Amino acid sequence: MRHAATLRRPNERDQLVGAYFESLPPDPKDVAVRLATDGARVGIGFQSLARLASNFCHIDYELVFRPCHKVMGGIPETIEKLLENIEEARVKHRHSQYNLEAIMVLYQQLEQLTKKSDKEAFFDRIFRELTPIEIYFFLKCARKGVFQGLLFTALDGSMHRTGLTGKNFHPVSEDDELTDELGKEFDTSEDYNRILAVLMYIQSDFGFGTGLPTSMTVGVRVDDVAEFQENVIPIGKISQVIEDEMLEELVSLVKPRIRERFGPTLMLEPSLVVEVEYRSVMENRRTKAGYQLEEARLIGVHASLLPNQCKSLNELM
Amino acid sequence: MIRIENIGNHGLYLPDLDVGLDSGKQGVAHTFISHAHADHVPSSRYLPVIATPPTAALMRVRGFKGDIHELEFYQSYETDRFRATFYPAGHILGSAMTYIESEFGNILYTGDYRTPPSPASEGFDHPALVDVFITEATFSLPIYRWRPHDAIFDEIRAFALDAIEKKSVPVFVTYTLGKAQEVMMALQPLDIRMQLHDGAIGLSRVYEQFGFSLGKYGPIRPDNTEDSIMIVPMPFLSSPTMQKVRDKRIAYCSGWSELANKQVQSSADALITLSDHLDFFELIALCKKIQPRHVVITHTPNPDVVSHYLSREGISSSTGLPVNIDL
Repeated sequence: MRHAATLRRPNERDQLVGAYFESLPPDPKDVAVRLATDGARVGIGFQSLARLASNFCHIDYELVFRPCHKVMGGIPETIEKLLENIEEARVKHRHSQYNLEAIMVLYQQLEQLTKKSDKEAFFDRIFRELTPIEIYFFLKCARKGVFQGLLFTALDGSMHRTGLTGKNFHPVSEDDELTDELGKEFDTSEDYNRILAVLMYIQSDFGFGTGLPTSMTVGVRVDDVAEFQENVIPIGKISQVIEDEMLEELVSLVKPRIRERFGPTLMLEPSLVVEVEYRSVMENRRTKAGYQLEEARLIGVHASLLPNQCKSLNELM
Repeated sequence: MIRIENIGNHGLYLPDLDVGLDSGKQGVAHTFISHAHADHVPSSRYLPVIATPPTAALMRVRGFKGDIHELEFYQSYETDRFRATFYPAGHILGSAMTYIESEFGNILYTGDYRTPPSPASEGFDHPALVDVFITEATFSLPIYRWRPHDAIFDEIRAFALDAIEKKSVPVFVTYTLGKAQEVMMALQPLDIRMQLHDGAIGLSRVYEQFGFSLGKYGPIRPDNTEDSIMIVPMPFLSSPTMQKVRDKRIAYCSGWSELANKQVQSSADALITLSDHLDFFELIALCKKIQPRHVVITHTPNPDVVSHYLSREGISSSTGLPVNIDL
């Protein structure tokens, strides 16, 4: 899946993704599709996990893990890379073979654990028995599926084009939704932040009717910073499938705000306020702001609010 | 006590010895240049400097007009205050670490370096006794551990052959000096003609002049790319010339490739992690091996991480400049 995500040619990606899933017998295929698209919806507190991984690798969380995380951009990626590279972790590894059904059993076991010491022992076992890349996908699939946070969300399109989503997987019910109860010792609520931002760019077809993710760019105010000529500059890119209700509202609010079109992208009047959830603010010197939001998701549209009620770059920092 | 000052972005100055290291400071008695990358060469093209013969040749190809005192590896440059010797740094052709022996102790300045060395360099070596080790730490986090060159070169060759088999032109995106020649060495066994950006051709001829075989190569011919491989710098990728090449498969080659931003990732078919700097673990291992009395950590966004690891090994270090070191 990681290799497929790096392929920039859609038909090659489709072939690889399709071939992988089609190669699976029916039962693992259901599991694979579900894990890939929706995740196991198990409570894992990434910050606590980062500390566990730091202990496993014999590194200081504040002095070493955090700078690594800042560069890597995501905790599963950082854990994977450190487990791969650090000798103290490598010598502890004793690979065990886990098929997809066995991985699901692991998630079920994790879901049942309530004591912090039990969860610590569980992840010590995970770090020893799975390879670094397996751990990466284990963590990614635990919450929201492997496509969340992957840079190439076009992979989701591959899944749709090969006809592998929307069928043959167990639908996640309300009862399966992540609650604070599941991750009591590993508080997930602190892992995400929310801000009001300005919607700046959006994909012209909105992913309409295709179930494909919509691409958007949100911005923050810089009207209090002299070095910028604009009032709003980009701070994050979002690519997600928008639910029908929000999609309809978004379309009606976006259309009168279209300023210009660049190929498939619409540039908007920077006046539509949206609510964005994100994990953290990452340094990215290649952007105008010098920073970007990590794992940003659109969670609401607030047409009645004004851009001056949105976060400014200084406030975000 | 010896004082070390920083000059500009990459230069250092030792005022007690009137020595510049990759420094553009005017009026310095002795300026040693570690290698020919633009960020280590003085912006003034007429400053008298000391460099290895290959570095001098590369600098002249790039327009340097000043007086260059050429000093071979392991030969000494003597003054009444100090003796300086170049050691091979393993970064690019001609790259050298400067070892200065004086009343203030033995100082080794690395410039940019790599161990294990780049195959497109003279290797890596260091003196036995070092009091003050001034080291770059470009990749100063334990997320950076490089694969062996053999494995990377296999990947480069496999990418090229796969592209050609698919009737596409393999395009490797690299810097024109150092990385380009490494990629050429990797591809040379394929015996396929390489088309280079103009900026790399003169530099590649210097490599050949100093005994490095780089294979068959010539300038870019966008109308004649069949069974060819292209090697170009990133800015050239969006040029009208490259737009004429219809079916390209692009491999981005850099130590930063795993962290390449979305724009690079969306335009590249492959990201090949190829660096001409040492990785984090090699840096710590080298410090443990050399056992300097003090390490000055430079050219890194994460000096505290390196300092933390060195302190675990009982090695004294500092991260800011200027610094006064009392041995």
